[in-house]
Amino acid sequence: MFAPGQVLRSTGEYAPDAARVPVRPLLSIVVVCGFAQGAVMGFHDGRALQALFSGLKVPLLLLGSTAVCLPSLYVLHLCLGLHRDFAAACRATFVVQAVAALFLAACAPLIAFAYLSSDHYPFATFVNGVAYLGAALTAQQALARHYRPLIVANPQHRIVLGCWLLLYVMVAIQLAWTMRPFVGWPAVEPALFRSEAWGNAYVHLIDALRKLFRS
Amino acid sequence: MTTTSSNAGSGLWRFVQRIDALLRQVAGGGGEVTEAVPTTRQLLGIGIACGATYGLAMGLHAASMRGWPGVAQMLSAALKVPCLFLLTIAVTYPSFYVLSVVRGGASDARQLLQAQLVGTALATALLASLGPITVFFTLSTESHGFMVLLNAAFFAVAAVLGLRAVWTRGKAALGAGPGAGSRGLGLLRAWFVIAVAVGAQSAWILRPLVGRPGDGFVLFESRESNALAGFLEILGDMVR
Repeated sequence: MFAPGQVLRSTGEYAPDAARVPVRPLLSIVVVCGFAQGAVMGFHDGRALQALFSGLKVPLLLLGSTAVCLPSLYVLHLCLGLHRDFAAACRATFVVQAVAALFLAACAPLIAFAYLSSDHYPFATFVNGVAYLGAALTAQQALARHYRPLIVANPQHRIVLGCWLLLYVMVAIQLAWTMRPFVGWPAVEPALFRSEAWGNAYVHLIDALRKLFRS
Repeated sequence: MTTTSSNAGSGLWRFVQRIDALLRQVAGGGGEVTEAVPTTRQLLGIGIACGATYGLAMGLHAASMRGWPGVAQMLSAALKVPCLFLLTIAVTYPSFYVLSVVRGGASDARQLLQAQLVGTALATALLASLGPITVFFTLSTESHGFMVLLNAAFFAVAAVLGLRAVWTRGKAALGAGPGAGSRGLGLLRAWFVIAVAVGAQSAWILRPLVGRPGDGFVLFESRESNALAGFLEILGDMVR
């Protein structure tokens, strides 16, 4: 059942103390809402093909980052003797993805309005950046809501939460870098991935900082 | 063909389940030390299997070389990671045992070895679970320096977790003796510094673990400098 209100408020079957993890509805929300926001993000300059590519890439970005980090989340629980709470941690993880996807989908009309009001490419990337920042902050609130009872029961969950956030953000940034373009430079043909080597987001960041301090 | 691959798949799954069950025994229910601990052989098995798994992920960076040199470099990394942990235990275990006895702690050599092996099993299990992240970064980056630093960070996290388990069990072992107290625990802290230094230097001796794709197959690099100097050099190259 599609119940965005319950997901956003973490109530009903999406509550931290619910009996089971509703994986399928949460994944459906991530795929549908992620596609919707991605499609709007890629529609800058009216490019339908880029809209399709970006629509496919946003759910992949959200779910791919989780899939790569999930084994380490499980072993962290195991190593700290918290494996009985792994189902609750999984629920928190999937609800957070769904909350982020819902927030992004809610921003889609705003992004479309921004595209209609200006064809400036840096403005388009800025608007999308703000939407993703907002999604991250909203997701953070949902994560705190789900982890609060776990931390009260066992403060070691704080360690897991810190490690999980660090790993997830690190992987998500690199995956987003690898999967670019999302908005798509108007002068370049729409593409699923950039034609040049994938590269590393952090190496580019260090290079950029080095140039900044040298100039 | 399909039956063979499905048999191999279910065999691998059973093996993973076995390791999972053993790790649950090791970790207990709430971080406390449990009575039912896997045998020394089982702990060694976990350490070798999980260490080799992470070694394969780590050596993948060198496997972008064509032909056998890349595969050989990857397989050598799979052998070297368990060796790194075993070498660290071999070098640090005698001092762990002697210091605990001298300070009046429990003189059960087996219990102390068990503590080190539990730490190694947990550290290598965490490393193996970080394998998908290492593979993902390996496939999406060409920077050798970045991969070395990423692996160093993962080893550092695994070491903290492993030493935490040694601390829990070592504390129990030291606390059992008549003369043990805050003095004994201070000793354990000092031993941790030694264990970290030996682990880092073991990795330095066994390098290359990540391997440079352009260098061909290299089993061991020349014996020069040390782990800290090497780490600072790579860091310097990254920001220079």
